[in-house]
Amino acid sequence: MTMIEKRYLELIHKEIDGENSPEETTALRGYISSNQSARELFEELQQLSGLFNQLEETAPPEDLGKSILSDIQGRPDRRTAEVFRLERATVKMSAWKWAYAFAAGLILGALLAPLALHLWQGNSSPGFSQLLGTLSRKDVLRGAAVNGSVKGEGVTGGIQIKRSNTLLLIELDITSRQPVEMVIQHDANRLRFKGLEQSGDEALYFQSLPEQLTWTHQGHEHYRILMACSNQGAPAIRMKVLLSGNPLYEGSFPLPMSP
Amino acid sequence: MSEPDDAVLVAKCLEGDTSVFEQFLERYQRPIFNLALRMVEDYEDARDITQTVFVKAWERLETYDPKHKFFSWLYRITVNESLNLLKRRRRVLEGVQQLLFNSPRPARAEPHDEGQSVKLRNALMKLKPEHRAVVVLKHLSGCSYRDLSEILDIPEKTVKSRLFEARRMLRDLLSGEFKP
Repeated sequence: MTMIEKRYLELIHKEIDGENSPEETTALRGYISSNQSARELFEELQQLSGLFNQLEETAPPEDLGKSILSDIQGRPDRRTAEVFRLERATVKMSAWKWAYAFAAGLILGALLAPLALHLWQGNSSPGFSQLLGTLSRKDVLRGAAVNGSVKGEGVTGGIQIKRSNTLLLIELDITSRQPVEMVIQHDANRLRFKGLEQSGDEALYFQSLPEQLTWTHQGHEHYRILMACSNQGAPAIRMKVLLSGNPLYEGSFPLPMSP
Repeated sequence: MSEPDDAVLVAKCLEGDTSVFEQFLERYQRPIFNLALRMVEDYEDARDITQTVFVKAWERLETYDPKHKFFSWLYRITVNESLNLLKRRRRVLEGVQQLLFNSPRPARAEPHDEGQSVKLRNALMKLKPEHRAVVVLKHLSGCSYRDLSEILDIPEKTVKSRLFEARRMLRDLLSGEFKP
């Protein structure tokens, strides 16, 4: 059995792929006419390529186009969706980015401390909404909390909801044996999604609509969902865990009173 | 009259003429569906992936870089969605499937499941998804090395080596199918 030179091995594959120049094709033809192994490989790859021609195209489902258009029409405006993604990207940061943000916050805090002191002494402390950013999560952590458990067939976990005057933090610890869809429904007039952070690096499909958040989940994950909330009353959020559209768990959780 | 090219349609879509998105659907629904189908070998999953691809394309049209071909962008989303689905499926199903059947899940509702086509599809499903993607994009979607490099975000050199390696594996898996 004769060896095939590396250069011609590459030319054989390129010829099959239609990527050779006329000069390369001529050189290859000369080579395979005098090298049996090269000729056999070339013929085998031609046959392999021919097998793909036998794979017929499959027609997509007839209603797929309509279903896609209907899905798109039911979604928020593209620009709105972009804003949601930006908000999500801001919050869904890995630990080292939080560290940078925290460090930046410390520096900024030190620079702004004299001004804050001045404002406080002047009895005109800034509203919490003006401090969104590095300090917001700290403030949320100090707020009142509601705890609950999530239990369904193949799904277990816990939920903790904390809030400040303007922010709501939902912490979810969920374990599921199967890939499920998580759904959180809320009052769009009082709560607005700000961001989602997950503990693992499992890819998830996430969707934010004005009154509902959905995402895919499997295994064990810890999620933090940050929402802006208005100060009117304390509506509940509703949570569902679905498997192929069928509910494994459904529950409501009252939101804590603002501190 | 020739059809407007993708760049023109994208620009119209971004200007607010959303009806042109239907033209993208007409143009790319079939190739996207078939790419997804060959990646995951499941009719319903391919349908879901195709739907997700177009919805994501719609939502992220502003992020499309017109320096690249529009179909490359769509194909990239398709491959990524397929790989994500395969990852999720692998953990749940592959163990059971390997133990019980030792073969890929059969595709549903496809009329031409005979002979060499089935063997080729089964062999494709035995490749690593990264290898399968490069072979399917080359042989079924007709992409060039440059297209593949753009879609898979890897250098052309890696495209070639991955393609050559995938073909070597396919030749081994289909060794009985070749006539001397």
